[in-house]
Amino acid sequence: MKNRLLWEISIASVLAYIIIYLFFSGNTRFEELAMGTETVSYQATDSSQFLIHLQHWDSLETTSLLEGWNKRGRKPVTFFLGNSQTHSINQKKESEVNFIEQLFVNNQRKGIDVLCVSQPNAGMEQFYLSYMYLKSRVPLKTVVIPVFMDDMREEGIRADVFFQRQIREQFQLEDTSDIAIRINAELRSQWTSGLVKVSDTTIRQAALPELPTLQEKTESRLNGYLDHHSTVWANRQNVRGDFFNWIYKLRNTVLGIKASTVRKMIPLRYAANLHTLQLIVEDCMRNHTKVLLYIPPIRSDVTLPYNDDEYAHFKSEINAIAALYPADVLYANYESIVPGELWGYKEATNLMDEREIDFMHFQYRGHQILADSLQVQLDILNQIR
Amino acid sequence: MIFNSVTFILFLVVVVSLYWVLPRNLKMWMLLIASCVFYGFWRWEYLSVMFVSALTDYFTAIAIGNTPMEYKRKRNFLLAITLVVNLGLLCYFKYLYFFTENTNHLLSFAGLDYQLPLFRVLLPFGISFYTFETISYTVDVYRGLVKPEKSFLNYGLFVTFFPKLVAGPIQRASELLPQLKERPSFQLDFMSEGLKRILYGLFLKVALADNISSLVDEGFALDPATLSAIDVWMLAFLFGFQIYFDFSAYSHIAVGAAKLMGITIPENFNYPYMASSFKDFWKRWHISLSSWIRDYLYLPLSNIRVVKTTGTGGIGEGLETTTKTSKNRGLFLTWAIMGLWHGANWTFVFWGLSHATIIFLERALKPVRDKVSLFNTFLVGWIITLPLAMLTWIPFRAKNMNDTLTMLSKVFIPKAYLFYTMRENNYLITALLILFFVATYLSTQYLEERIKQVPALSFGLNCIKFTVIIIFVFTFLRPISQFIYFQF
Repeated sequence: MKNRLLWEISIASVLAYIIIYLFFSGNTRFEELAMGTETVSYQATDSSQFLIHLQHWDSLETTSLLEGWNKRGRKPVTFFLGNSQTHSINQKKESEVNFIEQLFVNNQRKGIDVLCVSQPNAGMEQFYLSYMYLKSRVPLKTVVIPVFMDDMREEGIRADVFFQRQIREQFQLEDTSDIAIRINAELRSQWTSGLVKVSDTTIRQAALPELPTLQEKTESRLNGYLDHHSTVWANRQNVRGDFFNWIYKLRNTVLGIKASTVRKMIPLRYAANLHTLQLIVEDCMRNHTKVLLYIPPIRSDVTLPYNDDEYAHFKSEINAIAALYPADVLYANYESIVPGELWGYKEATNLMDEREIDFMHFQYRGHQILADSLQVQLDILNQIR
Repeated sequence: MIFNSVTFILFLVVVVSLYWVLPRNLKMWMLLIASCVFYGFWRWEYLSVMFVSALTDYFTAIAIGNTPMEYKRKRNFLLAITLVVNLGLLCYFKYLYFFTENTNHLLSFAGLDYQLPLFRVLLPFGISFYTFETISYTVDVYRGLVKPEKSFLNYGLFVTFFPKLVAGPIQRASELLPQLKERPSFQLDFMSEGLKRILYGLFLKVALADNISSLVDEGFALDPATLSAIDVWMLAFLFGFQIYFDFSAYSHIAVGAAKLMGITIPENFNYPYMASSFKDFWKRWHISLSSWIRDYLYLPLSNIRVVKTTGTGGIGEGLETTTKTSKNRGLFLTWAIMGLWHGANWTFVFWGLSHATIIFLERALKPVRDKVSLFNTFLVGWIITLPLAMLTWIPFRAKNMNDTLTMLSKVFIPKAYLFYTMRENNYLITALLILFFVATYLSTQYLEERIKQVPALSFGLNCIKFTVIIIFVFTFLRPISQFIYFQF
């Protein structure tokens, strides 16, 4: 065969096209993988459809959130932080809303606005940045922080949820803590996104100009054209999601990891998260903002995926932070308030099983229970002068 | 223009088509214009910097060529013009901030109140590469190793030829100019070989390097004091693989793009992480730079006369006439400069000197190694070289000297091996990368030839391999990050 290599590449191109076209449905968003198919993401809105709950600090969501708050009369805000538990409802039916929207409705009558930011697997650094950003834009009366044991394994901020190119604002934290310095460096590096961070000097010297280069403009137009004219091209992001999903499941299968597998604490990450939580609380105290720290609901009719001692220690440490400021910080433990029947299953995160227990996301009724419990604590906090 | 972009793919299709369609005299002009467009896609105004460098060397080289060897002072003066202009450009754009900042530190240290103003200058992409090429051209003319190029079109194209413009491989005039003039007739082999190399490169960049980069960024953003020794090793290996995949990807695409036009540019990598010593490592890593450094820096600094230069390192005769002291002095000086070439930061100097120290030790311990045959086996050499080579990437990637020293010190603290701070996935991915790399090397060395003997099997396996590569490239092609070596 003359020029075998060219034949090989040509045949491979055809095969690759067929495989991509036929076999990658591309319907997986990797960040929502932990939610499974039985759980639906829900972003709360007010009656005028302004977002009161966002997942990304981008222009679209941020503008909607702040505009809505303005139009509702710039009331003092109770600000909720959260992760996927906050924005998802298991086996959701039409007209069901999450606990954020329920609390929003309740508190409007009391002259308090409710706003929320929840991001999947958000660690305390993401909470810190979200809190500091919103604090710079609206008056915060109360901050509500769910402290998830799972997310004490997280670190850093995720580039895709903070101030991506859609938002031109170059936000920087004003305090001088190590964590703030690191977050600022991370944010700065995003302004010059597209650059590899080899060293501070390199970033400084090679920073791209403010205006997009000819390359960026052309690339954006070409991709826009391809997205518009080719469904396969437009679907590439979802195909990447499928691919990472498969890798994730493969890893779990090979290593025998299931939803119920005990997630070990990573000591230094845990300590860093705890430290960041303290920074948030301290900053709230300096600004006369009340704080509610709570241990979020977890499916507790089965064995928990935590080491018992580590979990007990974790809860006592969160309680201890609250105890430092008894007049302004409340601690609540809601780990068992949602009964077992209000939880569901999720698609298995390995290649062998069909489904597995979902420890994190509960049904609408669970959201109601949580909303009621939180309202009690918020009322107590609001009564404290 | 970034290689891992739709823009570049479209650009390449147009340029290669025109190259083979246009009459011979127009091809060169088209290539020169295309190369300027390629560069201008980043910042067109910086083309002028490149042309200042190119024009200086074009005229000085002709002047040197016209000056007989016996007019040494005049030849030296002309060479000095080249060096001052090129190194001046490099110093201004790359090192001005670094030198000013360090001078200010010195002034403060001396108790003086005066501080020099700091200027931040945008670093033109590829300046370290094209200035090296233009310098080496003039030096070769000065040494009488090549004749000066009379046609500015040919010479301009040698400097700007887009596949190797921004990050090499660093090309010698004696190798590229004859090829540009030759203009071979179209062959399907050029297309298939070029496409293959471009696919390899894109795969390494978009599927591997870009996906590792987030883990590396995450790790190096942490407070180094909180890291364990296991984390430091893991980060060293991860970054080692990231920079290798990233840079070798660029070289693959450069070689492939040139091949589509029937032009051969030198290879830059040959399984560097399978080296059995640091000397061997530098015969396999960034080959065009290490040979350039040897021919134009190390040999002159070691008082060795250069009689021939090539992209893979041509040294010539009379090598061993120099003394050990001058060789060692040359070694350390060369590596300090090599470090600084990579970036205006003390971390890069530290990186260079750490390589110099290890090579120095390898030389000093040679008599011992020669006595114990076990030390001369590939396996022992590799087991010692690989982790050391990876560890030396820490200063290359760390933010500053403080972080570098903190991280490196962890490796020597036994207690720091008792915990880890990053997610388990990171360690798993690092282990898989090592396995992947070794397996690829072994299959290339021992399996490929055997498989080739069964044509149908070889054909089938290659089809599968390219299918997988194309799927990955198609799915992951995004210009989310530039190539690391664009910065140098």
